[in-house]
Amino acid sequence: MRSRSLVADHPSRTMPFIIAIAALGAILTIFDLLTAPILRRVAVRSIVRRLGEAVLIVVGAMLGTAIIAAALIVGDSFTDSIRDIARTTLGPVDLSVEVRVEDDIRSNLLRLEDRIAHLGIDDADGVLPAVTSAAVIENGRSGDKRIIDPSNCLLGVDFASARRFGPSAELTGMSTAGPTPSGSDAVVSQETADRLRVQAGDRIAVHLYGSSKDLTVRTVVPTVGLAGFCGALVPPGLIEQMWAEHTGAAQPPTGSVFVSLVGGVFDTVEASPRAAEQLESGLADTQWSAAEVNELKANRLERAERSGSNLRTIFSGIGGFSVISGILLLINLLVMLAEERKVELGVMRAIGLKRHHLLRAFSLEGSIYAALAAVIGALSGIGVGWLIIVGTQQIFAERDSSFRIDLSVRPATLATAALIGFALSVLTIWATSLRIARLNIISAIRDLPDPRRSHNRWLRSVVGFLAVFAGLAASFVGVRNGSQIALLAGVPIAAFTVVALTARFRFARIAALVGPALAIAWTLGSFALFEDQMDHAGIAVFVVMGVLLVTAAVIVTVTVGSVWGSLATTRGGSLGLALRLGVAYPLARRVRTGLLLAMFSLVVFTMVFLASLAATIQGQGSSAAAESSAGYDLMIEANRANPIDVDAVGALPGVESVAELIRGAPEFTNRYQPEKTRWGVSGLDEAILRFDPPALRARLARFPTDRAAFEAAMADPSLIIVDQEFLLRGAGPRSDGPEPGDRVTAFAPDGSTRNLTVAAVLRSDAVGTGSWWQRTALVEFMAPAVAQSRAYVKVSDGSTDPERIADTERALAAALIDQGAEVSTFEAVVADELSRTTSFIRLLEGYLGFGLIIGIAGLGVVLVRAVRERRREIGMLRAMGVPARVVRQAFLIEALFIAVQGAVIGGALALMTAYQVVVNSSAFSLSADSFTIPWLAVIVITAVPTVAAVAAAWKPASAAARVRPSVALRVTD
Amino acid sequence: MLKARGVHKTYRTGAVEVAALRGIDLDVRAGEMVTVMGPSGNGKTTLMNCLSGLDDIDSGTVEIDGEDIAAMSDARRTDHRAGRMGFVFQSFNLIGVLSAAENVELPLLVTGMRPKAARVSALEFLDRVGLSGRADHRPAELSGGEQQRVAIARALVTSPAIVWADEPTGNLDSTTAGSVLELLHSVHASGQALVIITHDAAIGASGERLIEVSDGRIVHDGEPTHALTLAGR
Repeated sequence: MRSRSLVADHPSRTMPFIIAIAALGAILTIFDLLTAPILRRVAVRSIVRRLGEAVLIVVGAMLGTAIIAAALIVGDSFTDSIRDIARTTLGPVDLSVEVRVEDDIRSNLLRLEDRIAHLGIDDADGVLPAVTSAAVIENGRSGDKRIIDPSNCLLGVDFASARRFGPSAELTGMSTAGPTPSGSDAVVSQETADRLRVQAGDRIAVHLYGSSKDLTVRTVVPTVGLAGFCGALVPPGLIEQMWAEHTGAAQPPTGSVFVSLVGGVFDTVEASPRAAEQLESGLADTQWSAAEVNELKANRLERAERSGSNLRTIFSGIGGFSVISGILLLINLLVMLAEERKVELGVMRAIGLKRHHLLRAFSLEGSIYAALAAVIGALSGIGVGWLIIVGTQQIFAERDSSFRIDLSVRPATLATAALIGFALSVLTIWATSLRIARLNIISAIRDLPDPRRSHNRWLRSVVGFLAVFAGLAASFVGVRNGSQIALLAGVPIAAFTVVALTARFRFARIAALVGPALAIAWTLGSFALFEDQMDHAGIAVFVVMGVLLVTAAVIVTVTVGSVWGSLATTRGGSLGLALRLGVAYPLARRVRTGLLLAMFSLVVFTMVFLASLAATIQGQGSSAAAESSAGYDLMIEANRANPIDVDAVGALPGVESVAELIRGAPEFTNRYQPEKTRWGVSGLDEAILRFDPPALRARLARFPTDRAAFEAAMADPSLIIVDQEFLLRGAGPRSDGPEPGDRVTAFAPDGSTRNLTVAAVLRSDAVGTGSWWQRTALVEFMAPAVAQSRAYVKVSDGSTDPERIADTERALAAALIDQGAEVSTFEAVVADELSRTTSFIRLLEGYLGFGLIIGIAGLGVVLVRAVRERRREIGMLRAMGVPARVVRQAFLIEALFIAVQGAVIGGALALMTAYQVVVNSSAFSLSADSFTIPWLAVIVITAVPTVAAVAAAWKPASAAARVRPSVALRVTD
Repeated sequence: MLKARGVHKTYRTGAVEVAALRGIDLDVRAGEMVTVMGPSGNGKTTLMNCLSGLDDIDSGTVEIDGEDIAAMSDARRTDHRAGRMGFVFQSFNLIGVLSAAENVELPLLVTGMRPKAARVSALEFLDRVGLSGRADHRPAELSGGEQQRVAIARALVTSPAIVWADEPTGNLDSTTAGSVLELLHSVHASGQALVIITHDAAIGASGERLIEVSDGRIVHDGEPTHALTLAGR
């Protein structure tokens, strides 16, 4: 059994297009470099002439590539690290055939081994019977030196057979393990030895099935292959013997026959499905027809790919904002570059160079920048990726200290990132160069603004109306078929087109306010208006949303910009002149200002949005705990092989009531998950409903209350209450989710099936209980593969006395230590879980911080160029007696003006969007008052880049202040 | 009013040194109209820059009403320029993102005048140069002659002691140049000193006094009709 990847590898779909663009860009660049000496000379000398600024352009353009490279590297690193687990925990094990636990597991396994060996499985080079069991392992010391590993496992196997299993003993990790230990010895993996701080000769104790056994560590072996499959290797028969004496509903040992396929660790995946098929068909008519064939390694490697792909998607999606900012910066820089060289370009046209020459000259220069930026950006991405990995490692290390993510840099990945970055830059350069090449020769030579072009009005109108129609149609279609991006973007695109169409009419200003306002209302309102269609929105939707909102807000801002000019004129105070000059340029150069604003706003938008979500999620900690706790105070989590003695717990002082949870993991399929997927289910009984039932997000209409839904599910075994994430695999964006009324098929270990109906969907499963199914039905369906590994405890008067809860928590932890039980309040469990989520969001914020560098550096670069561009004007101001300090202040105010507007636009839109998402999306479904504004984070996110932008403007501002009027104004003498 | 003595200025570019002014002695009296002529690259604009306080000098003194601007700090000299000097350049040098009225009122705001009062004065001066109807237009929306008239209005609006005009008609056609020159003459008529740097013999001859600069030195200071001699060379 094997599941397929749910998330497509996004870059692979667009790669042919990207490669084509990059290749075309490279060919044209090389062609012009080799065949057009004049163009080459112009391009190269233009770069060399202002080397410092060329460096700044390359830095600005490379950040986008660095962000893309980092996203890909993070994905690769996760993939490779998780893949490596196949080496350390499976080695030669490719498939397993698991059988139900019977009285004589060992002889059953030996018969099965014999049967499989004679099936003639293609490419199989070994079979090995083994028994595994969950177990608590402790180092057998006392006091502070006592270390308990509550969730380890034992592997019972014949060592000689294990060494012969697969292509080499090295892969099994058993080459130095020696003979099969006696009943009082064990061999432990290096990882377990390190965790328990034991070495050969030390004693350890294993606890399982209600009993304990002391063992001597005979050897410590490397954590590889079978030696990594479980923390301790024990002689065959030991686990079975302890299981035979078990008490309570413990998860039984697993009897497996491992199958190794010809090849090393990673190159057997291709042969895996065929071997699985042969195993299933070969065992179909035997006593092992219900045996479960697992493609352990193929699934592990696929999971690795999926995890990597999900992370790539998340980081690429979020990084998309920064990449867009980088593109906007590049456009701005090229426009300024062209403006600065306008006279030269005009003269070039005048002396006979054609438009295509200008286009090529400009493109050639831009492509050289782009190529350098792509290479440096891809290499810088290694550093950014490393930082992300370090952050991620810290977040996940708390949960699983053994999981290490190693930086994985594949040359192909760097090449991909460089290609994407180069292609994006080249496209931007071509588009901008096309515009530049259309300059009016006379205006350019005289350094005057371009006259208005006489466009074909009819053509313009027809194209415009078609665009409006297409936009509206897209939204209509989106509403009908649930295509979220079409729904979201259609109306705003129509609105923006109307703004462009009416730009020359008298009412243009009104259109420029109403159109974007409509776009903002539509984008924000879509979550409330089209709840069903917009549910489960993915990252791409979020990126489109941010771009639409920011575009609309920027149009409004530049339209009403003159208000700021008036205010600066009348209320400028002592800064009056500097203020007036500072806002005059951004207000006059609306396109440039718009690009800068958009660049800044986009990144602030994303960061504030993420911070709001993190704060809201964090704020939900106590309510999520209350919703999941069913009115209990404490949760006990024990090893699955060590059932909790509920009676003993109930008898402890301070305990008022205990609910034991029987848990199993059947396989399921449903409408959005056609592959059998194992999912955790807890048994629902009266004890769970003793106080308040867990909170529901949605239930079938026939149930008036949450309790009614639970009671119905308790009475009717054909109903199941599922958690929100039911059968949704991986952490990436999702496109669907469970709804009441869904039909679900459950598959039992013995091969039987059962059709169930989703009665309700939980609001949150913050403590990882999974779905709820009638207890009796679950036990009958899954027995003996159920475990009583969790219990909810109500403390006497606990709800009103946190001290009493804490005392009981300590008492329970001490009493249940041998079971490896962990006792926590629901709040603590939820807080722990949420802190990982919020930490991950913060990591994303940090990643986005690189986008802010684009904004800040961009503003600095633009102002550096502005000083050059306005040199004569600055000279004139100084000649008129404007003090140097006023010139400096004017430049700083200009930077501040843009940064503050960008921060306000981004911050305000983000809060509005986050509110809509939190209140209307089923991922949250919270009331309005649950929305939390992280004021401190918002202030930091908006203030830091604003201050940094002003700091970045300090140097160009000072340079402007130092401009000597006599030099700046000199024409000829 | 302006008294320059022994003014030297040398430009240094790497190893190359160009002595632009070599011991300039010059007096300009209040209300006087002086024209400056001479071959290109011989120090005319440098003379204006150094004597108006736009540039430092290497040695000598430049006194305006008894104050040596060469000895002033940059900040002080800037203040001095704001109150006492007006400038008109060949390429107009208007601030492109400001309207005509905003360009004209700018020097008044520099001197600390309230915005409303500055706007009233600016409109008055625009009216004086015949551009009252173009007050809200940006430079790019004005013709060359109109831009230069805005520049003249800007130079006059603070009632400076001296107006310096560097090739004020160099970018204009003859008709427009004539009207601009007329405007400058009216400046002089209103009592302000006017120094015009020009290559145009007709303009050179239209002043009260002509100075010829050659090789960084004043080689003629007197009759404006000398301009015609220069034109004949």
